Amino acid sequence: MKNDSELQPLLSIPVSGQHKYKVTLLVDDNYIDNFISEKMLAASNFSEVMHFAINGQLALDLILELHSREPDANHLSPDIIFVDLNMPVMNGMQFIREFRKWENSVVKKSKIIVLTSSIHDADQSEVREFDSSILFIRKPLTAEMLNNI
Amino acid sequence: MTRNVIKILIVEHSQSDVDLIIHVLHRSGLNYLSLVVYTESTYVNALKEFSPDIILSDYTFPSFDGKRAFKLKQDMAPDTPFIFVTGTVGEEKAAQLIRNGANDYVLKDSLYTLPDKINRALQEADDQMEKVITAEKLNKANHLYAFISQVNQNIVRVPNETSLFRNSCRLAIEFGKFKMAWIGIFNPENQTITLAEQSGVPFEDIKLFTDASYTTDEPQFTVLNTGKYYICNDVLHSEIKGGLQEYALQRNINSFLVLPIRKSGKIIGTFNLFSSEINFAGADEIKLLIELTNDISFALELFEKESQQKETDFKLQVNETRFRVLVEKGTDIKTFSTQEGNFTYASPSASHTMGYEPLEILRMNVFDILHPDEKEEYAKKRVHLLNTRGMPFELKMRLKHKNGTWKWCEGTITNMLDEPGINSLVSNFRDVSDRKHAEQQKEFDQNNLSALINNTDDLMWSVDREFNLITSNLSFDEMSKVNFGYVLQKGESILNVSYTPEMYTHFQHLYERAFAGESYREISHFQQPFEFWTEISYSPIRKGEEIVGAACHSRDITKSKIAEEKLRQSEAFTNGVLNSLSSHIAVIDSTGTIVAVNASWDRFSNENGDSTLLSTGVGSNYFEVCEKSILANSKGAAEALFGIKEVMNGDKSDYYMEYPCNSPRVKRWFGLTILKLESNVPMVVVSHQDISERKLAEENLRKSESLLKEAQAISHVGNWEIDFATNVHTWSEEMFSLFGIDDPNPIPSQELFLSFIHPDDIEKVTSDVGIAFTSYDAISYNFRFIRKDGELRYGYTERKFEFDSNKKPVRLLGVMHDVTERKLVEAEREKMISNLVQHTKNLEQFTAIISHNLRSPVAHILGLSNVMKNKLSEQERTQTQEYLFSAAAQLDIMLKDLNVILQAKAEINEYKETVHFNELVETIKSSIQTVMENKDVRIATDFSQQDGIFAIRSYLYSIFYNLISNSIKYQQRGIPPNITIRSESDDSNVRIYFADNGIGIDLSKHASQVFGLYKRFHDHTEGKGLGLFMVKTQVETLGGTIRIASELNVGTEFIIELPYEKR
Repeated sequence: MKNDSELQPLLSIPVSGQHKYKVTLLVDDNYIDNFISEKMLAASNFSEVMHFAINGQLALDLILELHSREPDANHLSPDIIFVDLNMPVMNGMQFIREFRKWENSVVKKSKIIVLTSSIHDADQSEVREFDSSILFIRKPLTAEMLNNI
Repeated sequence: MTRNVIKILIVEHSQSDVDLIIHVLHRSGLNYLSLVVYTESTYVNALKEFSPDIILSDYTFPSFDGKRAFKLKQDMAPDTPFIFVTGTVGEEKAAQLIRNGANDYVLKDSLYTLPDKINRALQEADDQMEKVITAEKLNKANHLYAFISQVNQNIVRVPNETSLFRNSCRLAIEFGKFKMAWIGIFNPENQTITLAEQSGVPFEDIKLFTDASYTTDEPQFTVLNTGKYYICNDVLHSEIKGGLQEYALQRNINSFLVLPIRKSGKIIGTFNLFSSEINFAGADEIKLLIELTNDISFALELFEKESQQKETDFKLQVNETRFRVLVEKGTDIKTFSTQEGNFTYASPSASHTMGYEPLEILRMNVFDILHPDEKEEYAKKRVHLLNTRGMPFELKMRLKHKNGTWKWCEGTITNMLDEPGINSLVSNFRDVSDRKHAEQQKEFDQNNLSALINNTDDLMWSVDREFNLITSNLSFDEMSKVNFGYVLQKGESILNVSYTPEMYTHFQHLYERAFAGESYREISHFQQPFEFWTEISYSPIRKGEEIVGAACHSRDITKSKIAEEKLRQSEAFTNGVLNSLSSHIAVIDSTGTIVAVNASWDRFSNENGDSTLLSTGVGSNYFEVCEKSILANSKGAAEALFGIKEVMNGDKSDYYMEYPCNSPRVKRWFGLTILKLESNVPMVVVSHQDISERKLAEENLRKSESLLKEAQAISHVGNWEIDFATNVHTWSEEMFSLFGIDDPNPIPSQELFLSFIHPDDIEKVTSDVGIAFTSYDAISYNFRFIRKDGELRYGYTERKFEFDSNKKPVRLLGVMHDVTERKLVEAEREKMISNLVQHTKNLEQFTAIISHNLRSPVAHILGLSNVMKNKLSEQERTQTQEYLFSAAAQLDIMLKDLNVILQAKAEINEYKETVHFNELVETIKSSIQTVMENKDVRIATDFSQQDGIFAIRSYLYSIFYNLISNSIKYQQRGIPPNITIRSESDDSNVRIYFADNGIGIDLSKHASQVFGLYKRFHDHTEGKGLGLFMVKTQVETLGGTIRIASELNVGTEFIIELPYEKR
C-alpha cells in the first residue's frame, strides 16, 4: 500500500471536454486498480468530475461533504458510484447499505456499479440479494464496458 | 490561574497536519507540552492521564471523529477548552459547533490564528474557574459559621462532657460538611488515645480509632506536645507517615485538621476533622475552628467546677444516712403509711427483707405488695382499723418480695393518724416465712405417706390383740367390700367375717404367731370364692416392751403362681414337639455329657450301629464321640468339636456347619447347628439335620451355572434379572466382569448399573427404562459405559418382562453385551469417510481461494495493458510500466506461495521428534535479531508447565515464527511489541498461548476470515496474509486446533491446542 494515498483520502479530478456523466465516485482500496480505472474513465470522457475514496467510510464522508456544499441543487453529488467489495474499515456491502439509507432521504439517487476481481465470490450474492438491479463489472475496467453503461 | 507549561492534547490523524500545528505552536513562543492521539482509546486515556489544559481536534478523520471527541470531553473534562482545527468545516457548521459548547474553531488554512485563540480559550476557562472557586469558598465559610454557632448553642444546653463531645462531632458532619469527626482523649502514660466520640467514621473503622497508640512522628503527638493545631491540606502529597496516609486516601480524605482540647489549661485530647476536599482549611477557616475548640475547652472547665460542687453535697448526705442506720438498727420491718396505704417511711430492714430499694418502697402502696387472696380480708380489717385509734391490730399476711416470691409476715398495725408528728398508720412486722414453710412441709410429708400407702394394690392393715382392726389402707377396704360384702370398720373383728371354720383357725393362728413376737411370711392358697394366692407378711406392733398387735401386708401372687403352672404344662408340650422333629437333637453340658436327646437322635443312633446307646445315648460323652471320629478321619468332626466348645465357652452364640456323611449306600450331607441353651449352667443344644436333598440340587445347579458362566465370559454377554416381588436384583458373574469389578462383588442395583454408564448417556438410558416400565414392552438400546479401571466401552442391552397369569409383570430379564470392538471398527470407518469429505471440501475451498487471489494480479496486467493503448504522457507511461512490473511480480510471489502451501499440505508423514519450546523461541529470536532490536521487541516465555512436544519440528518452527512475526508486524503505532508465550497441558492436550499488545482485529467483522488466504484487516500495514493461513494448515496437519481472541487497539491472543502425543 502506498502511503501517499493514505494521507490524501479524498481525491477529486476535474476533467475537461464533453462527457457522458457529470460526477463519478470510485471506491476501491487498490492503487493499481484505481490507476487503471482513472485512466480508462478519463480516456472515454466518462464524466466531468471524478472522486476517489479508498474505503466505504471515506466515500460516505465525501458524499456528505459534497451534499452539504450545495444541499438543494445536488449538482455535486455523484451520478455513478463504482465500488469494490473487499476493503478495510468499511467494505463495499456495508457502504451500499449505508448509502441506500441516505439516498432516499438526504442525497441524490446514484447508479451503483460493483467492481470485482472475480465473478465467483460469496460477497456478491449478498449484494444481489440486497438489490438485484445493481450492475457487476469484472476488473479491469475497459473502454467497451464504459460505453455500455 | 498561573501555568508554567500549557498541556495541549492534539487529536489529528494526518501526520502532515500535526507537523503544521506543532510548527505554528512552536513559532508562537507558547510554553507548551503536546500529545498527539488519533484513536478513541488513546484519546480517552490521554484525557485521564495527561489531563490537558486545552484540546485541539480535527473534525473528520478515519478512526473516529471530532464530534465524538468533543462529546467525550464534555463527559470527562467539561471545563477543559476545546478548539476544532479543521480543513473541512463550513462557516455555518462552525457556528453550530460553538453553540454546542466548543470554544472555537480554526481552519487549517489560517492556522496562524491558533496561538491567539488558544490564549483566549484558556483565559475564558480561567475566569470561569475563578468564579467557581469564589462561590465554593463562600459556601464553605457559611458551613463553618453554622457549625460554630450550633456548637455554642449546645454548650449552653448539654449537661456533661460526653454529650458535648458527641454533639460536637455530629454537628461537624451535619453543619460543617466534614466527612468524619472524632474526639480522642490522650493517655500519656502508655502513649495511647481513647476514642471518646465520633461521627461519620464507618462502623468497621471505629476499632482503628479505639485505643490507638501514637508515635512521636504523628500529628497527634505534635499537638499534645506543642499545644498547636496541626493541618494537612493535601494528604496525597504530604509527608504524613504510615497508616494514616494510606487510610485517608482509601476513604477519600484529602485534608484534615487536628485541634487541641484543653481542660483547666491542660491538653487532654484532640478534635479531629477530616474532609474530602483538597486544601480545605485556609487561615480564615483555621482561625474559626480554633475559636470553636476554645469554646469547647471553656465548657469543659465549667463542667469540672459543677461536678466538684456535687461531690460536697454527696458527702453531707452520706453522714445523714449513717445516723439513720444507727437509729434504725433492728430486724423488724417498720413502716409508716398514710390513711390510703401509701408508705411514707420504711426501715432498712424492710428493704432487706422484701428486696426493694428504700426509695422504691416510698413510691408503693400496701395493696401493691399484698397477696391477691388476702386483699379482700385486709380491706375489711382496715375499715375497722381506721375507726379505732391507738390500738394495735394483729395481722398475718403474705407480701410480695421483689423477686416475685411471697413472704409470710406477722405483726401489728396501729392507727396513729391523730398522733402529732406521726400522723400515720404505724406497722411492725416480722418475716415468718421460714416457720410457715416448715409447717407446710410437715403437712406435705403426711399427705405423701398416705398417698403411698393408699396407692398400691397390696393390702395393709393392723389388728390389736383382740383381733380387732386398728387401721387399714384403701386396697384393704376394697378387698373387704368385695369379699365380705361390707367395708370393715376400725374396732370391728377381723376374724368374724365370712370365713369357713378352717380359715378362722388358720388366720387366728397366724396372728397369734405375730403377737408372740415372730416376724414372718406365709403363702396362702384359696380355692373359694375363686382361686387365688397371697403372700402375707406379719410383724408384731410394739409399744415399749409390750406387743399390742400385728401389722400385716398382703401381696396377691395369683398371677405368678398360675404362670408357673402353665410353664410346667408347656414343658411336656416342648418334649412332644422335639420328639416329633426329624432333626437329631441332643443337649450337652460343659463336660460333654449328653443330658437329653430327642426321639430322632435315638433312632439315628440305632440305625447307625450304636444300638446299645452306650456311646451316643443320654449319659455318654459326646466329646469322646467326636474325638473318636477325628481319629477315624471323619470329615467335619474336628470342626464340629471346635464349634461346640466355642459356643459352650460363650465365644459365639451359635455355630453352623455342613458336612458330608456318606454311608456305604447313599451320598448324604448333614447340617450341624449348635446353640447355647439359656440356663444357669453352660449347656448347648446340638442338632443334626439331613440336608442331602438340598445339597444334591445345589450341586446340579452349580454345574449348570458354571457352564453358563463360561459361555458368558467367552461371548462377553452378561445377564441380569429383577424380581418385582422382592425387588432383588441378580447379576451373572459376567455382568461384574463386563464392568471390571473384582471381588468382592457389590450388591447389584439400578444405581450400581447407572454408576458405570457414561454421563452423557445416563439421561437416554433412564428415559428408555422409564418408557419400558410404562408400556412393559421388550426393548433394546446401545449405550457407553466406563469400566472400573476407567476404560470407555460400548454396551448393548436387551430386556424383556415376564408376566404372571393376570398379566402382571413379575420379573424383568435382561442381557448385556459388550460391543466395543464392533463399535470401534464402525467409528474408524466413519472417521475415514469424514476425513475424505473434509479433504475434498478443503480442496474445493483451496481452488476457490486460488482462483480468486490469482485473478487480482491478472486483472491488473490486463487493465494496465489496456491503459497503455491510450494516449499517455511520458510520466503516465512510466507509471503504467512500473505498475505492470509490480503486478507481474505479485503474480510471481503468489505462485511461489502456492507452491509452499501445496507442499505443506503434502508433507503429512514427516519425521517427528521432541521439540523444546524454549529452544525454538531462542532460535527464532536470533534469526530476527535486527528487527527485534530496531523495534524494541520484548518476548516473555513461560514453559514451566510444559516445555516440549513430540511433533514435526519444521511445522512448529513455522507456527512460532509466523505468530511472532505477525505480532511484530501488527504492532500499535508507537508502542513496542510485547509478546508473551506460555504453555500448559493436561492428560490429552498441550495448549500454547501467544498474546501480544498489537492493534488487534475486530473479530465481530472479520472472525470468519482470520485464517483465510491473503486476508488483511488493516490498511496501514504490509502483509500478504499468507502467515495465518499457513499456521492454520500446519496446526491442523498436526491434528490440533487454533483459536483467536482479540480486541481492537488492545491486543491479540492465539491459542493452539495440540494432541499430547507421548513418544
